[in-house]
Amino acid sequence: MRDFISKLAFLLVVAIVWEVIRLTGHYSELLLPGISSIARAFWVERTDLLGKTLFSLKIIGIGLLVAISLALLATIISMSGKVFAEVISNLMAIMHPLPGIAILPVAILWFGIGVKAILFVIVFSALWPLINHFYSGFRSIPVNQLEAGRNLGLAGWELALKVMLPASFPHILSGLRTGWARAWQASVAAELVFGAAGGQGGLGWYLYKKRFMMETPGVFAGMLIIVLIGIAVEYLFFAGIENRTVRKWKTIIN
Amino acid sequence: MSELLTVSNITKVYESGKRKVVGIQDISFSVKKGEFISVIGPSGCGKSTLLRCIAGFEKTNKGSISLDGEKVKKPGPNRFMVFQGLDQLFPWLTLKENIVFAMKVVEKSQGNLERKAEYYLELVGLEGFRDFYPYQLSGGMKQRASIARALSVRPKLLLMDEPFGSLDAFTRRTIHQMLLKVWQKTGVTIIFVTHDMEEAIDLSDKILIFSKGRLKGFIENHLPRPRERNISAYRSFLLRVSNLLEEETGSLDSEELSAAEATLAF
Repeated sequence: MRDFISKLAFLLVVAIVWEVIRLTGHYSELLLPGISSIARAFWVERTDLLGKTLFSLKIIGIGLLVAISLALLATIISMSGKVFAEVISNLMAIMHPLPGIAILPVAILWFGIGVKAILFVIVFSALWPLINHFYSGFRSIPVNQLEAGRNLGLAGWELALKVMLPASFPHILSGLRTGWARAWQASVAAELVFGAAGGQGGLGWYLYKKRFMMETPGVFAGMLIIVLIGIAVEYLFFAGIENRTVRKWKTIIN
Repeated sequence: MSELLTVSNITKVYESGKRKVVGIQDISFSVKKGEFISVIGPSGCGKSTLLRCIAGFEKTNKGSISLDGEKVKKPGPNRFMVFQGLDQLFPWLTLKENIVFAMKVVEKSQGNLERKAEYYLELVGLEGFRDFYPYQLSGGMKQRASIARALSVRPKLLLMDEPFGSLDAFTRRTIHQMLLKVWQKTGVTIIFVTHDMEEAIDLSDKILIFSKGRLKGFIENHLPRPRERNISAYRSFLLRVSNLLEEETGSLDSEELSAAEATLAF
């Protein structure tokens, strides 16, 4: 919470510096709108912004769920044999360095311009870091803990759920963090490139529209929302989970 | 007293690539109910492999192991292992939760597990630490808690693989006292692997001597309990054990070689 407040204080300082620069009058209002006009845009556009935000969150949520499921599946497959592990690690070596947005042209060819293409990019962007973290998480479980579990008679799914999952949770959590960040970036980037189809779109599409119309305060209002959501998810969601789990158990990694 | 554990003619070979390394070869012995047995030998002699086979973590290539007439095929809570590592407790559970978890998995019932868990923590002298997480404990306390968890599932056989190898000498002495007290109180049968001759003599009734994957013999330990290290009987017994070990393990070179082979095998 202290950290959260210090971040907010920092934002305040940025706003003050911003206003001071603007008041020198060196830059056009079109390039550097005042805080008050950004705030006004925020208020006037509140319904639109809320709708776009919800749309973005929904699509990122779906994409992340798909990516997490696929990553779990891939991890289980690669744990179940040397050959599979090699296939997945080769696939990772090829796919991981590819920025998610670079897959967009292919996504458009395959799915057309629309939600499906954006979803594809989101899933692709989040998938590889997720697999990477999950896999190294499962690999890093102390042998003694696994064997203590087996000694109790646990095997298969029960062992995975009751021992392997909590034991690798520090890695899983940092995987989720990276996955979320990647998904968020991918959704905004994809919409910025081709906008939206059929009037549906998220915050990326909002930024695209506002830039196109030269409504600069709106552009900054959209960016502000993205920053605020990022902070909120980190400090209210991830930090909350972290405090209740790995921080309490002192198994935190980083 | 009847035989609790019968190990007959077991052999375990590790394969690493094309190389085959013998872990243990043609081992036979038996353990009576309530006995405290030590297995002693230099690192890489196969004593841990033996324990892992009895626990069911390793499959033997030959021979059979049976506990109370039942063949050992896979790990199970009737033979519970305490490892050397200080990371065997589940770090996401408090001490009490660790024990309740173990009992829940094994007994498949709720019962009054909380009370039972407290009993076992008291048994090992950790009654004040039930709500502590493993990271908050010293090495000795972690090993005590691991013993409490092992006992809580009421195993017929407690397997201990150099459980105090990471502890300092002072902690080790006090934990030995605790273990002996617990052994006498619960009547559990213990197989204790160590490379420390004095530890083996202090604790056990019978000492199996291992070298290069083979069982070289066993010595009954008739020294009166509690075992005092400063009496001459103790010192002559220690000498006997150490002579036997030296005879069997031979020169340092081959000892190191077999240790290196064993490491390769993992």
